[in-house]
Amino acid sequence: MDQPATRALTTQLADDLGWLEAHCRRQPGQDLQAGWLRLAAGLVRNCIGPLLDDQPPAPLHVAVVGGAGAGKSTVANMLSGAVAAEANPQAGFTRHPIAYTNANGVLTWSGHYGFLGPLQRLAEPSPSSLDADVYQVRRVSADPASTSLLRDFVVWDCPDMTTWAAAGYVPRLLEVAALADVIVYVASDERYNDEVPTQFLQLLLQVGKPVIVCLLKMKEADAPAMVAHFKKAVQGKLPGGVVSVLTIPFLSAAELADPVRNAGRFRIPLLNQVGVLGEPTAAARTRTVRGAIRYLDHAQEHLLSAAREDVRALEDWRAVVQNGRAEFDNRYRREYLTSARFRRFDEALVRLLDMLELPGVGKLVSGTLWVIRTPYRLVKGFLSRALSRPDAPTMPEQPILEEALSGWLDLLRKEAARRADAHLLWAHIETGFADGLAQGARESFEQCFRGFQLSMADEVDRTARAIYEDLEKNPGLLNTLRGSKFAMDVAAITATLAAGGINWHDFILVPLAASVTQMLVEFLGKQYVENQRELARSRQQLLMAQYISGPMEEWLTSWPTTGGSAFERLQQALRRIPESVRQLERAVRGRLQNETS
Amino acid sequence: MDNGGRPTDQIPLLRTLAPALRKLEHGLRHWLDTRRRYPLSTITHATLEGLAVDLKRQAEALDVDRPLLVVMLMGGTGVGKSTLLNALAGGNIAQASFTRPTTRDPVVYYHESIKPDRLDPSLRHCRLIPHDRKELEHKILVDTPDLDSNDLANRDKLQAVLPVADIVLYVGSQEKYHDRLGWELFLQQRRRRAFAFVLNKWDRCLGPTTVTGLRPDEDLLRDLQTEGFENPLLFRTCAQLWVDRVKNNGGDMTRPMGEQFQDLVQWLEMGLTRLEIEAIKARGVSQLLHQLQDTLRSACPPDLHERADQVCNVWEDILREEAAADSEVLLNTLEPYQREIEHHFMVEGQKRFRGLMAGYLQLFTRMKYAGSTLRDRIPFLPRARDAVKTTTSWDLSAFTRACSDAAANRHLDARGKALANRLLVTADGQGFPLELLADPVESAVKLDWRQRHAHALVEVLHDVEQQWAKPTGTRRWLQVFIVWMANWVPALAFVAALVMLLWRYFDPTSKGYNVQLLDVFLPFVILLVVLIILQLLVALLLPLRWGTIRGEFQRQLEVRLRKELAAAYLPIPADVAELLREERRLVEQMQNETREVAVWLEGREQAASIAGLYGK
Repeated sequence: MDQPATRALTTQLADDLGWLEAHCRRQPGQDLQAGWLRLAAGLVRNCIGPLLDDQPPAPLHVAVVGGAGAGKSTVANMLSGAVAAEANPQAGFTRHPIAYTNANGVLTWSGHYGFLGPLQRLAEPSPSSLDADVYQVRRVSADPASTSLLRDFVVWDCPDMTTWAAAGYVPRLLEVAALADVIVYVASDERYNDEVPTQFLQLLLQVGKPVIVCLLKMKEADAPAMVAHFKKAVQGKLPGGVVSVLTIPFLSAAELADPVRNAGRFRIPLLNQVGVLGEPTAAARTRTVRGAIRYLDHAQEHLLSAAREDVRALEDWRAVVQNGRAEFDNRYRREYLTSARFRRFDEALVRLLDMLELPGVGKLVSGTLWVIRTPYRLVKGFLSRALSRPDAPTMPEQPILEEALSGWLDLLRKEAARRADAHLLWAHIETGFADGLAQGARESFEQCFRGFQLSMADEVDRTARAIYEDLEKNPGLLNTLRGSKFAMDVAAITATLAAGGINWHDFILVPLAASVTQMLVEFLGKQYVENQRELARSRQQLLMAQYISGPMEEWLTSWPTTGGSAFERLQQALRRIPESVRQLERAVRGRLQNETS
Repeated sequence: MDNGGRPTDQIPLLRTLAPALRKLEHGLRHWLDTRRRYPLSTITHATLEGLAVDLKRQAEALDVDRPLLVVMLMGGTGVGKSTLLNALAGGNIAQASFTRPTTRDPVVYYHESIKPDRLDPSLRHCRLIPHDRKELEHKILVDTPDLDSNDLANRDKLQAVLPVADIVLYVGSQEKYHDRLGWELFLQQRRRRAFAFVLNKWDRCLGPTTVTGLRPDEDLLRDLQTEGFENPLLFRTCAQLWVDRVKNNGGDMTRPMGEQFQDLVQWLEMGLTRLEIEAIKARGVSQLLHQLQDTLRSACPPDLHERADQVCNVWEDILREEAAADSEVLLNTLEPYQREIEHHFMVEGQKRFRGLMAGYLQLFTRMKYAGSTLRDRIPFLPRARDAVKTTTSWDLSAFTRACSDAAANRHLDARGKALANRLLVTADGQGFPLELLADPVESAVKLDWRQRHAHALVEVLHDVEQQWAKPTGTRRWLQVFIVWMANWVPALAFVAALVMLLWRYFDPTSKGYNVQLLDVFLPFVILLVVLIILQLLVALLLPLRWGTIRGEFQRQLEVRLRKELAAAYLPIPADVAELLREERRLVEQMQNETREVAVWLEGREQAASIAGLYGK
């Protein structure tokens, strides 16, 4: 993939994840999922993006994270080798990430495409307590006599995640955590077994970040016991990935004021650990990216589960729409199709029987037989008049369909009103009904119905006509049928005459025989036409499903996810994310192979 | 803080509150346990359950001569709750160490004069540490497990004992005073109990000389102010120092600037006198009652009578349309059987006639309708698939039932379901809560409508027939006349013809008539002619054809069905509203009782200086 393509891909994926995150934040009780999504988006734009964008691997990023007051700024100062961060007793003072970097050199790393997503870089130095989506870069002149990390690293002092104001700025913390190649997790003697920071640590380990744990503020004598307890009570329950656990006891004011000179025995092991993880830089960066892509791949289901409730609601909606459709189809069949007579088929039967009469000279014979059968016709006419019932009147098709549609819409509206409190989707549908969803559905129905009418226009006529037109087109078959009918007539009459000889009772027997054959032919013809009628019925049902109830079902099912609604975006994100992750993984694998070869 | 000058005769008042609280609790419990139509949200229900438990607990706690004050320490792990209790107790009674979390079970520090069975049940199973300090005689100090560690069971333990607390001592440290978990618990509990605050590890708050940021105590005070605590009790302490001092058997210690542990001890020992305790107890009850009032207000069913009327108006129109459509459907189902119905009417109509005319008509009708009676007796005749089976002997009720079944299978069942949905949707549009109507409307749909339609058909057929048989106005006179004629004229004509024939035969005037054999048939011919003329007359003047009765039939059927539908559906909204009124009355009654007790209490709360313990 070329650069514009990968840029587009990472931007899109980060956007989709970001949208899902915002969606989660709008719903109560989804904060945790929102955090995962933010981290994933951060990984895409801050880890994977730069690699595919051919950014140099240096400098690496170290993020110092931890609960409020645990001593993050103290550790950041130790790492940067100068008292640059305000160590401050107000809990949760730092509210946006602050990067510490070398006093000289250009900041190429902060300019790359999509860096830190929505966080803007502050141009002016500002207090750490500024509560906005920003980050700032502070240049530090470290003591030249001492070792400093700032040659290869950028040190990030992050906001906390435990104070009640943190809900607003945890996303900034996650953004930087996603960027980091090495994490220093700071916990004090009060905090090291707290739930909220531990959850955060667990998340970082799942992403595959190398983490150095720094335990602070204990009495120096308690340090080994505390490390042991931390390993047992906290680390034991986490997935692997913690590189080492270091301790820094409660420091005196002098040690805090000049960590390079006075707290060297705590600082050097820390620097060593971080340094080891950052060498060589290219390998370290590759490890970061590999961890990120693995997390995206493995945790996909986990990430998308944030939308589980929405997906379930959409499925419920689909099921309700389907129920309505089944009822709609049923009503059409029972109220219209079963009582529709399709008179054309009766006419077709008459035509069919007419056609079976002999043509040309044969008309004379046919005429004679017709005369002979007069008594039969009269009796039949009288009987059918006396015995047949009038048909139940057929209700017109369109009102039936409209009525059934109203029933369908009412069902949906009732369900929406009933479940409006259960999920946003239903509330969305309920408001949809309040401003014109039903009207839209009716219009869509009108359109479908016109299409249906057009396709049905002479569907029945054609099927009915086909009954005799097929025969007309096939003279061979027609003549065979005519011939066999005639042969039957002749055979019957001859048989009668032969059996009884020519006598007066032939006046009764011959018409009777001719009538019996006619009855037989009529019976067969009627059976055939009835079959065709039944076929036409099921065909009409099919066409109705194809032109009306099918499209209507689709229209209604997809209504919540169209028209620029949140659910449309949701579906789009859910559809695109797995595909984008797959593409991204392929691109990263290709890139890494190129580098190694 | 001084108790001397105040009258002590008010004290039994608190005790007399106990029965009142108990009564409230009983009422609430009963109401919660009975079935109600108006649904409570899960949260409201849980809140009310909790309030009922609290009422009971308070009633029991107050039902003594001198109520006990429970002060509970609450805070994150490691902030020093146990150390604080140790410092207060002046000894190592609660385990304090660097492993987190330390305290796993609440520790109860109480005066030895209190029998453990006087403690609240949820405290009895904690670690009990009795003491003999006179100043803390009526106060119970409780150290609780943390609220923020990875050990979630600790949080449950805290939640189990927290309702017992009269005063919560919210303990924070420099790191944790601002933590979300503790703060949320504070917000959740602040309306229910008194709060005092401790900022422990005060030495760490002072830190290096700060250039940026607020000092933690100022930060905390500012937050509390935004929560309505204008003048909160805040103690800045260094509990560890006091514990160490006890360990070292006194001796000197350097206290950081502004350390206030001694003030805390002073407040606990001297500041909370009997009067304060009573006031805090009263305030606790009053907060409970206010919360109960608020929750009951949100649980109170709305008055829906006006809405019910609106819904009825809208429903009437829908039901009218439905009745028209239903009657049309039923009539269409009858249509194929019009000849049977005509036949039935004919047979019924003929009962008016007597004698010759009756016999003649019977014969004629039988011939005329031979087809429709024969039809179902002839085998092998093609029949429509869903034809109504008519019994060979005309059975009206069986016939209508069959018709009603056929109509139901084809149309009416589906229409019924659709009708319910339509009604619910329109009611929802009128602002009548859907969930209240759904059940009754859906059970009305499940009534035996087939049976009802069959009944309606029979009765309307009968009515139309009656109307036909007993017309009014000129038609009535016409009918009487025709029937009279039909009953008498044929016989008269026959007798007249016979007399004439005899006259001719005997020929008294000897005119020479010649009577032939054919003449013998003459009376019969005349009779037949007369009968035919009369029948024509009847058919012309009292026509009976399906087409003419159909309209009347449909009109009556529609009216009848409208009545049935109205009877089944229209009373539902009003019934529901009435039920809700009853529930509403109950809730309002509870609210009134609660208010009475609350007003009664208000006086007591003002008696002592405890305002700082509560926010606005």
